[in-house]
Amino acid sequence: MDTDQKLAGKKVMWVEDDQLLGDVVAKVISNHGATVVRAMDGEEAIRVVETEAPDIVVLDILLPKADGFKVLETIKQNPKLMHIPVILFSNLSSREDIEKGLSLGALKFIVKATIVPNEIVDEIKGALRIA
Amino acid sequence: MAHSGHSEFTSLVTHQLREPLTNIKWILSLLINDEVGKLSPEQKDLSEKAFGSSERALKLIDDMLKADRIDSDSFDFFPVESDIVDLTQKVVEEMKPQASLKKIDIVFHADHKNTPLVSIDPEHIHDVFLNLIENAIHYTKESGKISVTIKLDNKEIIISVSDTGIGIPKEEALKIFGRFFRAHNAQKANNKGSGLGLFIVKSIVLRHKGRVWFTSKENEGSTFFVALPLKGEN
Repeated sequence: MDTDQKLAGKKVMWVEDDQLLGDVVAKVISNHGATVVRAMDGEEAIRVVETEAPDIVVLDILLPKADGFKVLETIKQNPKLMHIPVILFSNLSSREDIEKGLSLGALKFIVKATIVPNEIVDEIKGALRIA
Repeated sequence: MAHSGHSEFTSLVTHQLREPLTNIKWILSLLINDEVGKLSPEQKDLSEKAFGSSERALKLIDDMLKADRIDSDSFDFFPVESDIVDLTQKVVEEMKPQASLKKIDIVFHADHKNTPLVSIDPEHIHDVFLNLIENAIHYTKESGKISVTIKLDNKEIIISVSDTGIGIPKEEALKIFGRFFRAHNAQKANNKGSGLGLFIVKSIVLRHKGRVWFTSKENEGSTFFVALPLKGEN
């Protein structure tokens, strides 16, 4: 399948403890030209975001060691990282969780089960203002 | 995640069910879109059917979660002044692609200019109309018609969803809003519903101090009515 390369040159950080889902997403995003860096737990995510300086972070919430809210909070409180857009991407869906995520500075909260891989690519393009 | 007891249990269980189903749905989506090589027509057809099944399972989980929240003290309700015409029209537009698969025409009538804002929880009311229109599509045969109308009464806004579907048997009319209930002709026509949709609809409308009812004739169609109180009336 021919896919556009509109994410070429972009570094997308994907924080997801489910190896299989992470593999699927990495494949789809890299098909669109992006480099994908991955972290599988909250502490690793905090380390990797500092060293890799990604263009965008897509972040699960239920993670080992530190949850996605903690990771988000850490990113948004660090002057060097706070400009990085963060999309929360979880199968949690209560309003309480959504509001908490947005109030901590997430650009968007997406429920995993409601979309398909190509739609997350569109969300990433939208967040990076790529037409 | 601050729900307690039963509700927290349900929330965790549904979350754990959603994760593997999401994986299945996403992998099938990759296959269908030829992102891991081209499928034969038969392989594509089977993958699309499996994708549909994963979507239905996810919808059932979603409905179960909503029904559980309705029953628990964690049912969140945040009414705000909203444009009901705009909201309903958006749901109609959202459902048109699904209706077009069965060549069903959905028409929408409302007097936008003269319809006042109404105090509702937009997310929940969105679910109400989504459920009603989705039901109408499920139980209407190919090339049928669905009509969504908003009218203003003295103290209420009345929204109706009318279809040319299989109708509801008289003897089952009283049970239709019950949890997990599915009329026998509905099960025959479409064995894919959760039986929770109308329970969710009724619970949400009652939370708004509104009313919900229907008229129906078997094999001719049904009309569901939702009446929501105007400002100062609830």
